[in-house]
Amino acid sequence: MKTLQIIPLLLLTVLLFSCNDDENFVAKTDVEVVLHFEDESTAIELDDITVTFVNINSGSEIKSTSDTDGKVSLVLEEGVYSMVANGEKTITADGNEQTVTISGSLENEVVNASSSTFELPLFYGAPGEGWVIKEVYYAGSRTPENKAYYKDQYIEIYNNSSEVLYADGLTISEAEHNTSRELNEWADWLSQGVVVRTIYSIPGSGTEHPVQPGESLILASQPIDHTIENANSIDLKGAHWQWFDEGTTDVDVQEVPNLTKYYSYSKSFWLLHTSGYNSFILWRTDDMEAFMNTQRKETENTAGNTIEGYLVPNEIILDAVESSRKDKFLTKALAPQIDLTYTYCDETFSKKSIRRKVQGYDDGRAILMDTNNSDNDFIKNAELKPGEVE
Amino acid sequence: MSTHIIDEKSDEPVPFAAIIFTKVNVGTYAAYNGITLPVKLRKGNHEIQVSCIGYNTTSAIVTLTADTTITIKLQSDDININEVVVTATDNDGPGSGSKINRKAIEHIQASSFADVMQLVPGGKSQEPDLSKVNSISLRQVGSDVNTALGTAFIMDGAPISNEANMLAPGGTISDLKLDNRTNVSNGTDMRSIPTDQIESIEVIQGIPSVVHGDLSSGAIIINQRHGITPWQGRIKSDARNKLFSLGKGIDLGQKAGTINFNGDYLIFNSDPRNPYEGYQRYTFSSRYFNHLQLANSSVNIKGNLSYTGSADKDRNDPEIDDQANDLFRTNYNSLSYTLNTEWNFYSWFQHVKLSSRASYASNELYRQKFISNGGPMPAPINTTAGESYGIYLPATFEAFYRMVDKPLSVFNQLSARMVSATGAISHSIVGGLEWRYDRNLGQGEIYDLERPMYPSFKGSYSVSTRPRDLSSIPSVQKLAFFAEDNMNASFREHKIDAQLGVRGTSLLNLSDTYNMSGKIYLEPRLNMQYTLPDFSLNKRNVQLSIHGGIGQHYKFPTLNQLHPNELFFDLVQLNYYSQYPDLRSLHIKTIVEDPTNFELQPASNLKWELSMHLKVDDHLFYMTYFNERMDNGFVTQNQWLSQSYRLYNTDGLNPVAPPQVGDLPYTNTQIINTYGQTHNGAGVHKEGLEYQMTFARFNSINTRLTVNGAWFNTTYQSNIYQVYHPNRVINNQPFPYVGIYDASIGSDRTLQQCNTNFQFDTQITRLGLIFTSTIECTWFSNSENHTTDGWPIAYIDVYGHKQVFNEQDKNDPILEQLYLGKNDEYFHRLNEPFGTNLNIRVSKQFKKGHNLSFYVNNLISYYPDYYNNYHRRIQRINQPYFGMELNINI
Repeated sequence: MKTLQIIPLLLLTVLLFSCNDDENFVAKTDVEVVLHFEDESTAIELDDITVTFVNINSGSEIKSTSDTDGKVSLVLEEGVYSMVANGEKTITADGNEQTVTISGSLENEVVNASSSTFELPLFYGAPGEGWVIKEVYYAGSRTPENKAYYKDQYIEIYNNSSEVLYADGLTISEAEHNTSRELNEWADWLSQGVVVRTIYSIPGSGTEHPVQPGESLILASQPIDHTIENANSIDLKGAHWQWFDEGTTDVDVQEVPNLTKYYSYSKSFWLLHTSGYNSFILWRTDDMEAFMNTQRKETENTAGNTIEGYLVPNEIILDAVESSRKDKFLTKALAPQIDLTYTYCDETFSKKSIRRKVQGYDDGRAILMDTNNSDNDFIKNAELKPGEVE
Repeated sequence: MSTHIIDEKSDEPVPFAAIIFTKVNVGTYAAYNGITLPVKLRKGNHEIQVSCIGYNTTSAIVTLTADTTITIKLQSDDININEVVVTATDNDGPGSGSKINRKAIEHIQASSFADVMQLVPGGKSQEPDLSKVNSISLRQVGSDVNTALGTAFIMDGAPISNEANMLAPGGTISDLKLDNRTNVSNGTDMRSIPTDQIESIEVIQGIPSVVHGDLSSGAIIINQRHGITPWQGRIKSDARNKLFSLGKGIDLGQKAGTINFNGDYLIFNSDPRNPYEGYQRYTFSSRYFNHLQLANSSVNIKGNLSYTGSADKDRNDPEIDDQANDLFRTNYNSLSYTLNTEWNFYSWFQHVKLSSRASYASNELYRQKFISNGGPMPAPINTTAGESYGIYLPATFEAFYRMVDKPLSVFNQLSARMVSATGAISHSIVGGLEWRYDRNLGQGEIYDLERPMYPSFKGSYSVSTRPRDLSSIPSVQKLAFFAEDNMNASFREHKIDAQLGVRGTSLLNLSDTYNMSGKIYLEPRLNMQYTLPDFSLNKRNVQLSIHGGIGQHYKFPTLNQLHPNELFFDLVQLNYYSQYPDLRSLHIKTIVEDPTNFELQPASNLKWELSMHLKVDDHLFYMTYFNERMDNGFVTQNQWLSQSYRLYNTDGLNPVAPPQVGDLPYTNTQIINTYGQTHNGAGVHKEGLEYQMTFARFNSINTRLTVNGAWFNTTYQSNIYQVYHPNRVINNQPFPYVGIYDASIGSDRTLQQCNTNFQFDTQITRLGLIFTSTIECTWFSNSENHTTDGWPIAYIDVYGHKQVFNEQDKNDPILEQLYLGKNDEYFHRLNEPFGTNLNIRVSKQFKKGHNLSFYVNNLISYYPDYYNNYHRRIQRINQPYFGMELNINI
């Protein structure tokens, strides 16, 4: 019995040895990998992107570079592979240059004679790095009587990472510079940072406001059901934060906590520019008091008048979006490495927003496109989707 | 001597001609039978000027040796024999001024008085813009409110008053399209004065007689026409204006005098494509004149009754449907009368004169609008100081707004003139009393505080007003006396004319709390003229006279400046806006501040001037240097106010009913706020040179050259400290300091301009043709802002404590924000280079005085581009502007 029991073991041993013996004779397959961006409107060349093939069994690595059609052709041993695409591209827009990282990956793909063509979706940057501005609704809407209605404005920020992030201290600001003006008086500071005209922060000690991956926070001007006041507007009862301005122009909605107001250029009401001429930045500092004491800047405009604002260094900016009107954009408020281009809504009071595109999903979690190139990353004249991704 | 005036052709008597003995400045009228009462004159040569409507003005020199009656024949002005004067001429009197006659006004084809000012030295033709208030500028580059307010318009012997106009709604003026109409404490709107019935205008830029008061800059004396005329019509049209006028002078028969009727209609469209906006004016006036001869005296009665109206029904374009229900309507109706009664005695006691005028206007504004606030907001509805619960406004609602402004003004002046002549010196002494009364009978603003027209105007922490009944405001009354000696002295051929007068004014009906109460403000004024004997130079006859003058002038504050509306500060203490409407609660503390400045003084202007008049053969030349200084003109100065209120804390509250403040914890909050108050502190310093050369007509080409122009140097500055509160929020609080500055940051400036107009007028009287071409040259103009370092001298904190602003405060992150500096370029002088343009005017007279004229301004223009201080290219575009008109006599 014992001998009988040994036979399969021997056989197995022989088989294993056979495998080893057969190593030089493993079947090889012509493999073609087609690179593409999930969003087909992306106008980036697909050549010169390196794809690294790692054989899961052997751990061996092979690199190959794509051709002008975005195809990678090579011969691989049959087996199970992971494929990782990597590249750097320089994009130019209006004379500004920006270098973006491109990446993408496929996991556990079987390569054999019947499975030799793969489509590899590409991402800009490393997918899902952190906080992004998901949507800005600055345009406002119109009442059934066709009158302007604008206290339904909101800004939505999104956890684009795979980890729980804390919203404490996140700060939203509007740039001081108006992108429809001929001259940016702050141009000398542009490489250092953005001069802003409003500073509103989420309060908290650092770990009070956790946000799950793929979840968002809505910051609203007035978090109420606006459809009661204006049937054409939206319900913002579910907003998470309100930017409230003391005085006789705003109402303090009790069910929703207020952002901490550090600075506003206006004594009355923070109305996001309904043409979006003042771009938006999301940032965070460890020491707001020091920031307020040291970062105030002033300069003179062409009329000789003093203008002022607070300089937010580029290093502490988490995300930014340059906004304007298509026919009115003249000068940038943000450095090209922060945002290469700009995005827009066509009309004021159109009930449209600028909303970040979804570039892919990871286990059901939407990953928003963030290439620091808003012309590419944002949907223009988007339908309002507070709290939703698509 | 008495005079008999007859028509040249028919030998019929001409009734009511005016006769002036120019040398002695004595005048009278002919009666209905064409005969004047005897006038006592010294023996010798006298120049007589006879004028009458419908006739050419005639001059004659008579030598008197004994009592006599002379006969003067007047020629109908249908026939053109004499050339007409189409330019302004120098004033005859000792004070400097410009006289403009009817022909000159007709020739420039004026739509309103604003057009006339181009004839005054320093003036330039301008494209008419009747879409906004036309305020006057005198002897200055640019314009300012103190000059506009301080220039008196005296129509037919009585001033036009704009003292009680209160149509200044506390809302957004642009929405009410009130750029047209808001003219509070801003002087006379020149648009409202039609020119058709003006016989003559005298613009006194210099020192006016003390008979004219409540002015600081100058006087415009307008005399309208009286007398028998056929139907006279005028149709004028240019790119923006259409004007129709029709009038007639009726003979009421012996002893009954004459009456003139005139009506005109003006419509102005700033944009011919938009029929929904514009300015309309319709006026109607009737004027009565009579000259009654009694035994040894005569009575002149001149009166007028005038109506001015406009009823703009500005609509929104119905094709823009969202505004379909919106409505804007104004009704302006003004009625005035003037009555001058002059009783002449032909003795040392020359005359007694009573001038009176009253005007009443009803200025109503109605606005209906669908309001959208963009979302819900609080509505402050307290009408008194204190704390109370308020309401939230819905995001949209229909709002109704009305403002009723009814200014009433009365003027009465009684004066007497005496003459005496001893030896070589003669005196003409005038003295009198004057009373002015201005008040408003309107109801003011009428609207529902819970559905306001301009909710967002009441910004956070800022100031607003509440409706007030304008008829509750006390009247402003001024009582004045004046005395003036007009002296003429002749020593051989040397002649001295002097006008020395004093005027005293006191405000009545003013409570003792006002500093001005009970005070008499004295205005001494002197004009002197020295005329040399005629002499010959190079076989040319030369006449030279030198004139100098100095005078004090006071402009008193208007009704609105003396009695401004109370200001309301609404501070929100609890703003509990729940998503559940039943739980909402708003609590407001209202602070009321009276912005009346009891220390207000009249604006004073001290003027002096020197001028020279030269006549070489028939060439006339004069030049005036003037210097005017006003240091205490009216200006709005910001005041600060430390305010405290409670901020109720609702954290963790989970109410079942709207929370009441009594139950809530609170924090005391202290803020600083500002509001505007009228003060004396605007400095206006005017200096310059005015000149005019009128050359004799070159007979070979029937052309006369007139050159006039001016060099003006004007400084505008603030003589009181400035208060500035940055309009921003730091750490959730309005800016915690108010800065005090010793200079007006950036708005103090000096402007200069030098211009000359060359006017060639060619008159072919045989053809009734007048052709003028005017070359307007602006040699240079520049402006320079006065330098300031931009740092405050002191600051006020939220508790109202004043502290000196030290050097180290410049490094404080908050205090440094009070810096209001400008860049260097801002203080550089900005030069505008030479520019010139050519205007032409042609008028052709047909039989019976029918006249067809047209004009083109900027027919040719050269205004090169230049660069401003910020290296920007400035384009100056002067497009041709033309129009034409037809005058008919039936």
